Amino acid sequence: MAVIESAEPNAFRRMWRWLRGYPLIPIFVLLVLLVFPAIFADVLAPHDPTQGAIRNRRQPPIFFGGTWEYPLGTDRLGRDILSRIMYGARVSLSISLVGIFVGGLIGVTLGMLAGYFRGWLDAVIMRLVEISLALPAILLALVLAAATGPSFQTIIVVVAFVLWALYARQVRGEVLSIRERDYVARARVAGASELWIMVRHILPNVANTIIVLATLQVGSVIILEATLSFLGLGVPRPTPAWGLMVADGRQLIVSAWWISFFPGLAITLTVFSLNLLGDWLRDRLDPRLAQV
Amino acid sequence: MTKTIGDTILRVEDLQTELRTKMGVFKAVDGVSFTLRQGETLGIVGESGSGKSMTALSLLGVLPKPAGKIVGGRVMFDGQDLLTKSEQQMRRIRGGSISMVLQDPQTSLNPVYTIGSQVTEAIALHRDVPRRSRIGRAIDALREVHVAAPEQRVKDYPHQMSGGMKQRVSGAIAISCEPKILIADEPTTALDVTIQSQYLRLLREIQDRSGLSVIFITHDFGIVANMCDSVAVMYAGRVVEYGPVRDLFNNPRHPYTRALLNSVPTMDRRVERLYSIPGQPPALWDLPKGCHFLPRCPFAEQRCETAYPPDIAAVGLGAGAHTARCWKLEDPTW
Repeated sequence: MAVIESAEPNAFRRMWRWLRGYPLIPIFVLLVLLVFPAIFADVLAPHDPTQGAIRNRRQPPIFFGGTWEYPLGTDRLGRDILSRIMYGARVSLSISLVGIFVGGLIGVTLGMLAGYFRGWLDAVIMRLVEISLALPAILLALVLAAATGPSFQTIIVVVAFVLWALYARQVRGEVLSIRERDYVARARVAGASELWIMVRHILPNVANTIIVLATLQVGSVIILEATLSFLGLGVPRPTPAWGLMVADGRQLIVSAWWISFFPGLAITLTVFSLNLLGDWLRDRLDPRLAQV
Repeated sequence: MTKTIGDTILRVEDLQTELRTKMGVFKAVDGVSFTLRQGETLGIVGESGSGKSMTALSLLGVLPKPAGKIVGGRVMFDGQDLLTKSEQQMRRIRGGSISMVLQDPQTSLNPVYTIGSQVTEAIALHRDVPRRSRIGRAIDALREVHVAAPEQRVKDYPHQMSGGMKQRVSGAIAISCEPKILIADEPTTALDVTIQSQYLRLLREIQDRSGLSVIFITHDFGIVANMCDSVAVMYAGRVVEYGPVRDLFNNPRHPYTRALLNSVPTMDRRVERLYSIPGQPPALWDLPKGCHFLPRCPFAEQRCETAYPPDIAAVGLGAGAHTARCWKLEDPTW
């Protein structure tokens, strides 16, 4: 007889489900780890993130032989890792917010136009979407960074370029179904213009999708930004970015693991919490569950 | 019921609407003509796909894009041809002078807005009413369609209302700008029978009060007999019989109309099995030669195959005439 596999979800899935039931946990983690430090880094950070004393370099974190002076240790230039993580949160947060806003704005607009007007406009926009989805983000970032030099703006452009197509595709799909609803037809026979119908009748009905998508994407944008920074294509040194910090510590991973470990942990926890929150939001805002 | 019928306000002449689909290009509306007088109710009857709704959408210029296109005819309203108007001018007419109620009340209201804001939307689109007094107008409109406690109801969302209530709200939206013509596209199909009769009574009441003309699209002859002054029977995109309701019911001239009336259950006749028309309506992209009803017609003859019959007057001429498109009408014995 064949072995029947257990239908029980594995431990990880069970934990995920349990966590999803408590949205306050990811929100709390996010506040503590990302939002709060990002806003109040100037006040909260114990040290200057860009200035370090060489004599204090590679201090281990507390409980590993370090002192409270540098709770998470210092990097190879003697800069405080805790302070750098706090300032790094500011970089991650601002890049993901601005990048998602720009990419979302472009993607939602084009997706609405494609789904609403159909025809050749739809065809053109969707081909652009496919082209954009086919281009590897890293390659694109490389080209852009090489052309303009790594900067905050370059990352925003890369992020927006990577994201817009996802919004466009998702929104187009939703609009395709919403435009057939009777309330759209009713607005049309009531004399509403196309723009009025799109903004007033269709946009609010795709808003939930956009919010969920945006939340789920903050995580991937943080990863993207970290990846770019790790490769040296992101924000230029000495700005503290999490990816950059991981990269800086990788040669010393054996002797001074904390240099890479703590920024890595920050990325992991943030992205994990964001995905949890996004999942929870998706369940909550699902129109099929919300109404009735 | 005292209803006064006035002058002609809408004249549709030889309206032709094409649809482009995967099946090819075909005429969904092919040479439809009728007139509508002030205060009159015109019933447009026919099976699904006979072109009833397409006719209505053509009048308002809201055909499905990019498939639908008006290719001929005139729609004279207020002395002007609506088919020559720009999109901007049509927008003013839609919901302003000609408005429409759609079939399904469940989906004709936007779930994310309150009832109040949806009624005021129509007013905001057409009337220069300051924001603050719009809600008052909305409450008045709801009161007119007998929504109880409209002051509270304006704050409700569509999902908090019943189907009949929603349909009345849709009605309130349609009449909020005092249109001259209301096109009702099967407004009661989705309602149950008691709510249906309530709704029809309401519609008549509004009509008596405001002198509104109504184009009533339906496939229910009972409603036609109850509500309408004249009837146009449509088959495969054409009006096959058109005339005053009493005439048409008492003396149907077209075999299709006869068959339709035969398939309506009546109280005074006892039948084992209700009559049904054999066959199916033809596909519009594959119409039979000659008369389109030919394959299903029990009276089909040689001449029916040669050409589509012209409009032949059964009774009278001009306004109030009863016409049908069947060769049989040429026979004095028919």
